[in-house]
Amino acid sequence: MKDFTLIEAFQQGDEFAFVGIYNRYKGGVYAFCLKMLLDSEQAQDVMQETFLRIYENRARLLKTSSFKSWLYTIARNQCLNSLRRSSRHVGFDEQSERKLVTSETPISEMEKSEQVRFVSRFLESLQPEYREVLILREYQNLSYTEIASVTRSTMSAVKSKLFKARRKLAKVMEPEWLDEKANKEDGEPEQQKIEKN
Amino acid sequence: MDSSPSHSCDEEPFEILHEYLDGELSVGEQPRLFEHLAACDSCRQMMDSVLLFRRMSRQEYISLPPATDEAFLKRLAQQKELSERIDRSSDRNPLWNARRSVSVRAALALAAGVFILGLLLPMPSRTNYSQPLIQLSAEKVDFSNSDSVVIETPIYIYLDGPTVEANRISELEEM
Repeated sequence: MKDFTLIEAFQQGDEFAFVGIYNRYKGGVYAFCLKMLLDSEQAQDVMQETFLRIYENRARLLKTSSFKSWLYTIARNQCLNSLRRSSRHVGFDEQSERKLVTSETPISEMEKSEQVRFVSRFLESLQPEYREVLILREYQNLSYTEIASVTRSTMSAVKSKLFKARRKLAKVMEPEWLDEKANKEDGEPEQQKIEKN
Repeated sequence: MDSSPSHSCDEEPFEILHEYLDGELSVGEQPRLFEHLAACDSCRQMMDSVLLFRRMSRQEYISLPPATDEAFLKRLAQQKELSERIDRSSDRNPLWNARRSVSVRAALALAAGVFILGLLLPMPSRTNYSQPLIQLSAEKVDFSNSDSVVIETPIYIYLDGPTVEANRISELEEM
């Protein structure tokens, strides 16, 4: 069923349609909140709050394709409020860069959990305005236009923040990791390489 | 491969590289990028780091804890209950304690009504004109009596309103 149909049914009082919207987007919204807040409990709370606001503001629900952007805008605002309350965000500095690269283990031998920890530490080291853009791009697969809509900014601002975050990423990535990855990919069949890209 | 940590390429190839990585670069522009990548170590390193980060970030399977749905539906039920509950507290309060928000239009209409009513009502008279303004008390003066003194100066009577000036003698003569 399309979003449009679900939203229309929900606005006409169909509670099951709301549950349908919730089931469709809860995973994505939770993942976004988790990566923004890096705390599972807070992420669950903010995700629930986001959908409660959707329920409250059913009259203002957008029936167009921008519903997804609107949903993530609400989630984003809730996350920023939560971060502001807890003042947990850490600015990117030289110290946090050094902290990230502590393991000398080659990437192929790194446990999945270590890789996940690296990603989390890197995200935590970014300021929220850079973090949100990177998460919306890498985890939610939103386009530049959609990210601009969610973050209430322009497309050039989105690009600038995204590129800046990636510059930082290139700085903290171990050169050996990249060499190793390149060597490993050289040995892989072409089909797998295409699928990966 | 160039292992310098910072990216030192021009802005334009750098931008189209990211657009390519994000699926926003048109097919027509891709050959130009590939040509550049063949010659630029720093752009290749940047591309590798983005792809590696993407691969690492997908190692984590993010799933919502099962208890979350139940907790959410409970919160939703509470919210619905709160919004559906009829507030009777105002019924128990006396009318003069009731504080209600009044719209600007209603307030203006009320003010206009009071103004028109004020125009229609008769003006209350502040002075009773049925009674004489000045009540003179007559005083008989016996002119043959040398003891009585006639004062030739005017007498001023101050009342709440106009000031009346009169000559005492002439008034007495009229009486």
